Order: sequence, then structure tokens, then C-alpha cells
Amino acid sequence: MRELFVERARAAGCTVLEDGSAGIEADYGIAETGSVVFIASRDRARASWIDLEVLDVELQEDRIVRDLDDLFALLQPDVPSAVAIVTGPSRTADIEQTLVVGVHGPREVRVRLKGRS
Amino acid sequence: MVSICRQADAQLVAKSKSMATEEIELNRALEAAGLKVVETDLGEYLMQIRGEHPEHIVAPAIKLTRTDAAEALGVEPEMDLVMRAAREQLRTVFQTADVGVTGANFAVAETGSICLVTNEGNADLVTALPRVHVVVLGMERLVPTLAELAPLLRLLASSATGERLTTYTTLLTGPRRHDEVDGPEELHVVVIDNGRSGLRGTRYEEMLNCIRCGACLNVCPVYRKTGGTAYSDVYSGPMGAVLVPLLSSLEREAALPHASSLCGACTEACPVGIPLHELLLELRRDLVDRGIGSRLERVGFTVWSCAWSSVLGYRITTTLARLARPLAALAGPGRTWSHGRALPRLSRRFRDRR
Repeated sequence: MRELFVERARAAGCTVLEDGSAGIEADYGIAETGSVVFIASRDRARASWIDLEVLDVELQEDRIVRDLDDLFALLQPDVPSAVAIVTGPSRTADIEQTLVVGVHGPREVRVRLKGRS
Repeated sequence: MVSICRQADAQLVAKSKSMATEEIELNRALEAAGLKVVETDLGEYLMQIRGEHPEHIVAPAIKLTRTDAAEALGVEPEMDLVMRAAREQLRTVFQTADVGVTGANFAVAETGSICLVTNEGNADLVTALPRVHVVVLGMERLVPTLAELAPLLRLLASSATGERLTTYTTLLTGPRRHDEVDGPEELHVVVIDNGRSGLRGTRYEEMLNCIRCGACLNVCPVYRKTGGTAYSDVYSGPMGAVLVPLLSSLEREAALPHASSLCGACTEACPVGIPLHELLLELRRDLVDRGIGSRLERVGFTVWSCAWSSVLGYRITTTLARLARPLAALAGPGRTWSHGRALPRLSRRFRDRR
């Protein structure tokens, strides 16, 4: 699952690092899509994963779930007020169908995997 | 919508891309009520500055060049500068808007959740920063439970932009909870019907399955030649040609069912299996049944079917056509056609063509 997550997250345009710690901690990772998941809470503002230039994420390896279906199952029965599934940097191809990153949100997403011993 | 904005004492409304709000012409109503409305999807923002309407349901500004974009934003035509200018201008909008308006890609009945997807992340900002969030939800977007949501999200992303998942897929369930740091204090959901419920139980019911991915637009030879503005409404391409007459009126949109070569590329591309070209044919049938359209065409086909229903009629008309061939090159479309080439010779009998 870890390998799949790394592969898919890189495919989505993230930088995946093996060590170090910085930035905000993701609530979950999704191997199927290479996404990191953030849930709004008392200590986690909704703006914290979107309103910045570079998103530094720390992800515990045991928080990686297989796919979207597994994530949705975990969110129930008490679905949080805001769940963001982030797959790569903010991007658009609105002009000339050319892919550009960082239009509103981060132009770079760096994921640091933790907990491999 | 206006009263919600008034109650919130709003002046500035930030929107993220929503076809449902385009459909009900929300911007015009809000502006008439004295509110400032700003589209935050980059393509839509540029189109709004230029005073134009979106051209494509997924890529609204598909025809714009970077020079057009730079002109709209008042910078030099460098992609970098364009992006930076857009980011800065829209950042101010997110931070000062009183109300955020979004559509909903899907909504989940069981949990009361709204699901929004964007690649830019503008929906996340529109729903995080303003005090009030208003969702305009097309009633057919509802899925029963979260279990049905996952496959639809995969289909939408792969068909719309060829990705595994859209960059920002956000699930919102109610407004900010009491101990949370940000998010809207109020969340309103406006469910729109606008002709949708009338399709239930009809031959056109499957059209309600449409997830607005735009795959049918991208493969349609008619859309690719004409572009979105050639269609009369906010929805263009094959899905628009089917949906618009159904939502408004077939009388008013009588030309749309003909905006297709019936090649079936749309049906093949549709991830949810809507038989688009067959529905277009059904609409044409309805046009004929209800006597809508050109009288000349109807008279012509009636005469033709009478003439060719008998052997004698067939012989007489084909003989006449053969004899009149030299005359056809003198006027009308035959003249244009025969400019520089000869009109084809008509066979004596149908079987002689082989």
C-alpha cells in the first residue's frame, strides 16, 4: 500500500520524501489515488491546507487506506464538517490547455512519510 | 438567494464554477440586487472580465489564448505573470467576500453531505473563508449513500480531465461546528428542479444521470467545429443539445436536436452510458410529431414519401431528375456545386448503381 501510495502521489505531482518532519499532519492517505486527506477540527483550519504556496505534509504510514471506499467507510457514522481529499498541487489548464500549477492553492505538495521502522 | 445575501448583509459574493447557477442566471439576479459577484475559477473569472459566458462545462475559457488572458488581467502575456495576477486578484476576493456560492458535483442523501471537486482549489477557499456558504444543488446530483460516491468521483475525474481523482475533492457536511477555527457560520442548500423532475419516467430519464464531465463535448465533431457559444444555452455539445430542449422547451430550442451528425461518439464516450445520439434522434422524432420546424421540409418529405411509395412514382421522378440534370447546374445549389466539376450522372434504375 505504501509503495502504491508513493507511486500514485508522485504521478499526481507531489514530492514524496522518506524522512524528516515538517508542516501539517494529514489525517489519512489514499493509496489508490496518491491523495492526502485533511479533516477540519478544533486545531485544523480549513485554510491550512489550501491557503498557502507550498504544502508540507506529514503522513503516518499506518494512516494510508487502500481506496476511496475505505476512506468513506472510516468517516462514518459521524461525518466531519469538512473533509478535503488533496491529490497533488492546485492546477489548471484553463488557458491554452496548458497545465499550470499553483493557481489558488499550493504549487507544490511535499509529502513526508513517517513511521517505517 | 437574494434574501439570504441580504440577511447576511453581503456586498461581495465569491463563486466557484457551477453550471446550475449559470442555468438559473444567478449572477444576473444577484447583480440586479446590487451585489458584486466574482467568479473564482480562473477560466470563468477571465470570461467574466471579458463579459462572456462559459464555452465548455469543464474548461469554460477553452478558446482564450494567454494574450487574451493577460489583456483581461492587465499584465504582460507571460503565463507566469498571468497566474500571479489571477492569484493575487482572486485572493483578495476570497478574503473579503461575505457569501460563497458553489454548485455541487454530488450530494449524499444519507449524510446530508455536499461534494465539490475542483483542480484549482477555488471551491475550498470559497467554502472556507466567507461567513455564509450557499450551495445550488441540481436535484439529480443526489446519491443515496457515501458508498455510491466513490465510483462516481472516479468516473468524473477520469472522463473530465483524465486524472485518477480531481485535485481537490471536498466533502462538506453542515456549517462550521462550534469548536472549529474557520468555515462558514451558515450553510444553505438551494435545491433546483428547473424541469428535471418532468423527465422522470420519460424516455429521457437517463439524461438525469449526466455527471457533467464534458467527455461528450470533447469527442463531438459538431462541438469541435462550432465551439460552445454556437449553442443557445449554458450547456453545449451533445449533452447540451439533449438537455436544453428538455429543460426549457423543444419549440424554442428546435435547432439543437439537429446539432449532431448522429455519429455516436458521444454515446461511446459517456462514462455513465447515456445513449446521447439516440436521445437526439428521439427529440427529432418529437419535433416531427409535434409539427415543429420548417413547413417546407415537412411538405417536401410528404411529397417524397408519396412519390416513392409506388414503382410508377419512383420511375417518373427519377426520369425527371435525369432529364433535368443539365438544368440543375444553372441555378441554386447545383450551380455552386458544379463550379469546376460536373454534376454526377443519375443511374437509370436503383440496381444499376452497383
